[in-house]
Amino acid sequence: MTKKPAGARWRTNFLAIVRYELIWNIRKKKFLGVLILAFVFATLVLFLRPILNDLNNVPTAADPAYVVTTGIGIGSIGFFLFALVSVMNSISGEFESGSILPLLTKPVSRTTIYLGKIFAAFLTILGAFILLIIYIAIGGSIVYGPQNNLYLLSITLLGSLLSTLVWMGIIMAIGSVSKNSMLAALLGIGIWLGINIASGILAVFPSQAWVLTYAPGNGATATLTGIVSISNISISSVRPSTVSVIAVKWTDAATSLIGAKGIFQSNLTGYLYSTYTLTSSWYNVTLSLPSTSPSTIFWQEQVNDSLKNVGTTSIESFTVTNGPPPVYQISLAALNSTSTGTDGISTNLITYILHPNQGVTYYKIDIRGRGQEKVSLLSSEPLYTTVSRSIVVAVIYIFVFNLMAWFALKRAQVAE
Amino acid sequence: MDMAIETVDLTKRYDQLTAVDKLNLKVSQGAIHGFLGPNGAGKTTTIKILVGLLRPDGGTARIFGQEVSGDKPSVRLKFGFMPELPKFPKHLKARELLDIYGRMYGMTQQQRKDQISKLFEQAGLKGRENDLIGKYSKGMQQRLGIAQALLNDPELVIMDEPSLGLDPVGMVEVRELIKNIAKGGMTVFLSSHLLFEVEQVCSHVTIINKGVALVSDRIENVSSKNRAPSVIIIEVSKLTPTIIGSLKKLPFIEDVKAENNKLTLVLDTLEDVRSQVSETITSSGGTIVSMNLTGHSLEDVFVQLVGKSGEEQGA
Repeated sequence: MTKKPAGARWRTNFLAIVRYELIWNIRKKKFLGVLILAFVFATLVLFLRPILNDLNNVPTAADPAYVVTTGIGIGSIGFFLFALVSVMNSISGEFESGSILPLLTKPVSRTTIYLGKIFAAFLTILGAFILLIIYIAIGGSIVYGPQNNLYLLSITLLGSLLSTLVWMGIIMAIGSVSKNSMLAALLGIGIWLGINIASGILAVFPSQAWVLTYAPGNGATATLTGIVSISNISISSVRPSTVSVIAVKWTDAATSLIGAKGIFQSNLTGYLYSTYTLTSSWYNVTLSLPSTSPSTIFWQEQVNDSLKNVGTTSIESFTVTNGPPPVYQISLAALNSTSTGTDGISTNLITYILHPNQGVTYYKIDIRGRGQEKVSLLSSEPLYTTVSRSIVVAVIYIFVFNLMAWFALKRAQVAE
Repeated sequence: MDMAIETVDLTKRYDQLTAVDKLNLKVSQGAIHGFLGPNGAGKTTTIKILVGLLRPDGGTARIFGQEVSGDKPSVRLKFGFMPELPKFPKHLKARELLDIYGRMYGMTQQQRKDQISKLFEQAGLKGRENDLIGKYSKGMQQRLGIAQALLNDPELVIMDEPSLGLDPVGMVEVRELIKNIAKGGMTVFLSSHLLFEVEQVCSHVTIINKGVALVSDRIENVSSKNRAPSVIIIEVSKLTPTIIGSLKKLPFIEDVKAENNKLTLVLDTLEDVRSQVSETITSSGGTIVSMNLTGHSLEDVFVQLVGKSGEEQGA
C-alpha cells in the first residue's frame, strides 16, 4: 500500500508492536494483581510501624532518610514478580494461543517484534515503579517527616529497573526457547527460589559463597560496614562546655547484635555521663567531655576502639561543629546485611552515594547452638567494588538472556 | 509475468514424516487457486512455508518471484494471510488490532480508518468493532481473520481453510466474499478439504495427498477428468418397476441398480438432488424409508485419484 523508506518503516513497525504489547500488558489482570500486591506491601512497610508505635504509645521518630533507604518497598520478590507477570507469556503466550501466526506474517521483522515486546514490558515496569516510588515518597514524608536526598529516588528507580530487567531476561529466554508460559513461570520461580535457598546453604560454606555474587537475584549476603543511617545527633549542654549528648540511631539488627549501651558503658567509662534508651533502636549516649579536649582524632579513636571488639562497626565521620564549646558529631556505623547480587543494586548504589567509603564484609558464622555463634571475618571489599560488579553482572545477564530469547524467536518455526 | 506462487521441489520433514514431498506448485496471478486435500495432506505445512512460518528442508518457494525463506518483511508486504482457525490477542479490541496491523503495513491514519470500516462491513462484523476479541465467537474470529488478511489490499491472499468453523450461512457469505475480492484482480490461494467449496469458488485447483501434488489444473479439467460418481442409496417400502422407470428418466441419473427394496442410484452431477429424487419416487407411488447420499465427499474422489496415481506410477 504505502511505500516508505526503510528507516521510517522500522520506526512505525516498532511503535506498532509497542502499542500492541502495551495495551495487552495494561489489560492483563495478573499485572494489575501484582501492582495491587506491591501497593499493599508498600503500604504495610510504610504504615505498620507507626500504627503499632501508636498503639503502644511510643512516638514515631522523624527519619529524614526513610524514603531513600526504604526504596521501592518491594524488594527482591517484588522485582521477580513484576518481571514474571510482565513477560512470562509475552512470547510463549502468543505461540500457545496461536496469535503468533498473524503477527509473524505481518511485514515486520522478528527482531523488531522482539525489541518492541521487551521495550513495552520495560515501559510497563517503569510506569509501575514510578507510581510505587511516588507513593513511598509521599507516604514516607507523611509518616516520617520531611525527607532528605529525594533526588536519590532516581537511583532507586534505575537500580530497581536493572534488577527487574535481569529477571525479565531470564523469564523471556525460557519462554521464548520453550514456547511454554507455564514452564517459563515455574522454571523462573524455581531459579529465584533456588538462588535464595542456595545463598542460605552457602552461608555455611563461605569459601564458595563468592559464586553467589555473580548470580542473579539476592546473591550472597554480606555485612555492610559503615553507616547505615546517620544518627540525628542532638547536642545539648547539661554542664556548660563539658557535656555533649549524642543521640545515636542504631538499626534493629545492630541493636540486637551489639548492644550499644554495654559498649559505651564498658569502653568510655571515664567520660560516660549517662545512656538511656529512647526506643528499641535509639540510644542517647551522653558523654562528659573535658572542655580542653584532645583532638577530634582522639575521640574518634576512642569511640572506634570501643566498638572494635564487635568487629562490625566503625565510625564513618567524626567532625567538629559549632564550637565553642567543642561539640563532637559522631556518626556510628551499624551492622547491616546487604545482598550483593543484582537485586541489591539500588540499595547498595544509594548507600555508596551517601557513604562512599563503606566496605562490604563477608563473615563466616559457625552456629554451635543458641548464643554460641562464632563470627569470623572472611573477606572484605569496598562497597564500590560490590556495586560496580553487580551492575556489570546485571548488564551481562540482561544482554545474554535477551540475546537467547531473540535468537529463539528469530529461528522459531510455527508448526502447531 | 512472475507466478504469484511458485514452489520447486519443496520438501518439509517432521522427524520420520515427510509432510511435503518435492511439491511443485504454480499459482498464476489473478487466479482463485484451491489447494485441496484431506486433513494431514500437507496443505497447512506448505502454506506455512509460503508465509515464512516454517523453513523448508529442501526446494524453494517464491512469491511474485521473491524467495520466501528467512525473515523477509518485504515479501510479507505483498500478501495477506489468514491462518487456519485464526486466533488473536484476546485483550485487544478488534478495531485496535486491525489498526495496529495497519500501522505495520505502513498505512496512514486515514487509510486505516477507511479500510477498517470497509472490512468490518465486508466481513459481517459491523457493530462489533469495539468488542474485545476475547468476547468473539470462533466464527467471528474467523471473519476477523479474513478481514486482517485483506487489510492492505494485497496482491495475493493466502487463506488456510477460510470457511472452517463457520455456520452454513457464514460459509456461503465467505465464499461470496472470496469471489468478490478476486474480481478486483487479487490472487487468492486457499486451502480446503471440501471439494464442493473448491468447485464453487476456485478457478484452479491443486489436489495434494501425503505431501504430493496429484493434480494441478483448471477446475473444469480436473472435475471432468477425475470426477467420482455420487451415489444415492434408497430403501423404499415396496419397490415397483414404475419407480425404477421414472427414476431412469431423470437427466442426472446415470445408472439405477435395484436389489430387494434397495435402490442404488449413480449420479452424473455433484449437486444435491435428493429432493428431486424423493419427489419422483413419491409421485410414482413409492414410500421412502431411508435415503443416503455417498460419493459426494472429497474422500471418495480422493480414493479414486490416489488409486489412479498409484496405478500410473506402477505402470
